[in-house]
Amino acid sequence: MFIPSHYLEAASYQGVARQAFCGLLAAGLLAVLGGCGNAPVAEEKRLVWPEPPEVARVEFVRTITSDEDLNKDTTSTQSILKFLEGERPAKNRIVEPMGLAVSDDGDRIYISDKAQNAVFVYDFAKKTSLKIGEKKPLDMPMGLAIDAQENVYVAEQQKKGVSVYDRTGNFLRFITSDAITRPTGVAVDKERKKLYVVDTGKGDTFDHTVKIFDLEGKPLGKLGLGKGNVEGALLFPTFISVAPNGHVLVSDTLNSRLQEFDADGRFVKSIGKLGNAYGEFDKPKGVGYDTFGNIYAVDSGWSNVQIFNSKGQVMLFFGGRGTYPGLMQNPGVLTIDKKNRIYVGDLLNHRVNVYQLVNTTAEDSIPKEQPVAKPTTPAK
Amino acid sequence: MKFKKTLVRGLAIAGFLVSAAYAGQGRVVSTMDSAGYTYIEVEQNGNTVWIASEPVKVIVGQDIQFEEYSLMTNFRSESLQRTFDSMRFVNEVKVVPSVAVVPSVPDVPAVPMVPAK
Repeated sequence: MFIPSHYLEAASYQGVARQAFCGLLAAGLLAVLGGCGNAPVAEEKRLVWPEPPEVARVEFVRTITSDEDLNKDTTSTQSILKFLEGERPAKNRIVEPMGLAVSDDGDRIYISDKAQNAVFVYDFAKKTSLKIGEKKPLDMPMGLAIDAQENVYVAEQQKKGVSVYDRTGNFLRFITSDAITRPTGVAVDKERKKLYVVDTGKGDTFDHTVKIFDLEGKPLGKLGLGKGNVEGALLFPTFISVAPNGHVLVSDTLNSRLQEFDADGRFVKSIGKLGNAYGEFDKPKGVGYDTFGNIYAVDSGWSNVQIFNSKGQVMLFFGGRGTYPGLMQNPGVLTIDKKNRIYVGDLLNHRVNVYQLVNTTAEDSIPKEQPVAKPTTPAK
Repeated sequence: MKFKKTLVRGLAIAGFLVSAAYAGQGRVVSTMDSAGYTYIEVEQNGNTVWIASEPVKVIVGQDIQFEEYSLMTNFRSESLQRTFDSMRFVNEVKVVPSVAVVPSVPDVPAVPMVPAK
């Protein structure tokens, strides 16, 4: 996986902007056609990154907007037409997806919705859905994670803690501590049975850290030095992901960087800085790992996702600002399943976008060694 | 009418109290300009704190007032290559005008004494 040369030379988002423009033009045209009775529906253009003639590495698959999508294989142009015709959104439509988790087999997706005060559970194999919070609304649900039994851990920001439900929606327990002020992202280390809760903090609080619990709720400590911009300190962190080796990656949002800590909480490395070049961030939020150990980071400001190898070298970005299926508007959270499908909470488009990593092997992610100068041999 | 007067008076008092609560004051111990900020070390009640503001001209020994905006702990300035335990980012820095020094009556006579011969 690599950044094609023409991407580096061209203005950063020209290509995506062109795609977005073409997409909107096509949608508009189709809307006109849609009003003409039985006019044939043109096949929608599916976005890939990088653009042809480069080998595609990421392909847009579909969007998920409500439980109606359970019976669809892909996002179709028909749904755009229905929307343009003024069709009322489904009762269980996603409004503000702030937390995402996917079962290992990829069949079930869990989506916490801040505006709907609920967690939607869509089972694409059984074509069923569940709304946790239907009877008793959740109190500003944010980040979400599942454990090995698919119990759901969802941060309820107003309650300053994490509620745990089983996969059928039965409440199990509430996890919190006095130290938590504003929980946002959560992650579960299934192997080490640890729960990480990112405490975003507030302007007048200094404990901007990640709180650690066991899965029953016993506090185990915290990650990070507190509010600040030195290595290991965090400034309004938001989301978190756990690597198979137990390392955690924290989105240090207002420092415009990611920070990696080992399983014992020691600082390992920082990735990115504020800027608009490749590998730099505006406001990084959702983070995740694919099966090759590559790092994915959503940037809410740039409305894209950047991919880094395990060494932190940037390889590719995908997405871009827009409403066309596959583009994003202020995306927040991200998760990746075992089939390397990438799910992005597309906040202002009120949907979850699904992408697939394609044409990629483990070799594509091998970090490139820095060129080492050959020792000079003294002239004889 | 009476209600309006009471409301205006109340708002004025509240505004005064809020501004008083946020105002900080101290004496400049050291100062440096870097990367679009002025960093000022300020002595306050026997302690020294660091503040950062938009570029402002102050000199060591001056008394200044500032409105605190945000406190940042574990602050690293790459341009200064220096780490601070805490840095107070402030909205505005005002130099407190120094009190005019009134010359006192000189102890020595204005006319030099002529030694007696």
